[in-house]
Amino acid sequence: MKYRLNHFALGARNIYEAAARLRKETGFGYTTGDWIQTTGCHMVPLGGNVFIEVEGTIDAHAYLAMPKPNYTYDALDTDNEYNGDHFTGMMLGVDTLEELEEIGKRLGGGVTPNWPDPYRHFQRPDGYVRRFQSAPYYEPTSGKSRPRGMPNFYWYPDVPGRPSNQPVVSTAHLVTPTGVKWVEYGGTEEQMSKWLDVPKASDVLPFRFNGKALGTWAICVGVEGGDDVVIRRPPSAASIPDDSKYKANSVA
Amino acid sequence: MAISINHFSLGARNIYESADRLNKETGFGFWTGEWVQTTACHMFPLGKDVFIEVEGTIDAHAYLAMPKPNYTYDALDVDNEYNGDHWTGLMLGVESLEELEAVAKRLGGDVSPDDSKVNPYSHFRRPDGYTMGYQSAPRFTGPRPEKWPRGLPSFYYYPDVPGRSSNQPVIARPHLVTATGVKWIEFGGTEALLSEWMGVPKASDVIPVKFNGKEVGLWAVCVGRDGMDDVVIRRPTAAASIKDPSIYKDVPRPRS
Repeated sequence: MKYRLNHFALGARNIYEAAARLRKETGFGYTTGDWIQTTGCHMVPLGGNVFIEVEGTIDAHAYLAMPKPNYTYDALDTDNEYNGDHFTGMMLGVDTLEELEEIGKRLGGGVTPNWPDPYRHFQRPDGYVRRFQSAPYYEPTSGKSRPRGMPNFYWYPDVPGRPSNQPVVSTAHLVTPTGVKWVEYGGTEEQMSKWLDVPKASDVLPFRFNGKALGTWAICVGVEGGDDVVIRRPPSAASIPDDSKYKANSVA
Repeated sequence: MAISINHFSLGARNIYESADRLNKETGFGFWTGEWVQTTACHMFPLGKDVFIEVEGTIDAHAYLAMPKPNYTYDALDVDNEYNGDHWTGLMLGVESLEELEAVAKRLGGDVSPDDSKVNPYSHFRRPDGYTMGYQSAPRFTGPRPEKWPRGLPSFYYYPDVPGRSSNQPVIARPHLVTATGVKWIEFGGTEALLSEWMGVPKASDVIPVKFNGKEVGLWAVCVGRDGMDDVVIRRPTAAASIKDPSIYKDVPRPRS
């Protein structure tokens, strides 16, 4: 089984502000308009079919009606030098549905259904509905959940349609990212290796481990004709020292 | 003084869902990415330099920190068949700063400053780096004169007409139809009230407005379509869902 980096979720209080700030920091362009239910994303292609989704709640009415406490909201509510930005997820990719099903089974769950309702999928303003599946998926009644901070796995059948491969909005001073060079992750190599079921995770993907709270801490991205850039934000778990009061992870 | 319709604000709980639904309802395209502070808009050009901004709060953290009660939030919180969509503004246009200043003076307010070059965060911005410099009136720095109810249109001067939101390319998608301009609007209140506010003998001689006598604000916009029947975009106006406006402070909108 071949693992790839698929994408990173960068949670933001205000995705418009966060994406504009990330562009000033890196020179990387982005697309706008992607959304699913009450979450919107500005997408930052990184090269090599990998992207960052700058994600946030874009519906205050819906947020107020949600059950509380809300893990992601509370993490983003913690002030930092990035207006509250936190890495909220790392998503790995596999190349086939069979591989995804195997992962789901190994981790005691299954694969998300390919729901027919477009409202359950990311949509774009050009009408595109992004169909993908992820694992491990646990039925809501199972009582099981993915450990917080460990990556989930995705299968995107439409590689050209992936957000990494859409044209960014043109603006001055853009630079071209050439792919992820390394990822700084919390926890230990042993934890990640066990989760991936491989002898050594850093032989499979360009990981470095810092032993801190689980989650993405930094991404180093190559830049065409320029120095590499390191995008550093705390992961959610760094700002939620006691997660016992929160319900289990979402499943998608 | 030439007064024209500049744009309409359509408040939405979720601008992504609302714009997608408005596209399905009308066939009109839109574009994304414009924002000012904690508000973002999906923009629908209607033809002839006029547009709808589907606007909403996109920062729940900021919303929770804002003073309450919040007039617009509370209007949108009232359920209707449009997932809470309400018309939240009619904006008229004038063609020079001098005209805008005359409007402000006549109505007892002033003109918002053009600080777009030094303070872009207080202006609408786009992901291509464009900052929309414009000015509006009347800005009341003190209490709003009781004579003028909420819901009356503000006046705008947009010096960059090609840069106006009405004149940007929409995102291509199937089944788009071309909007050919606003045919008429339905407004609350009376013709006498709007005429006095606009400083004209008869408002409907200046802009294509019909009056329904209900709460002051926009109720419907009729837009022509290339090769198709006109379409009427009907939503309640914000004031229709606010039973007691006296509990709200007149907090200036971020962009005005």
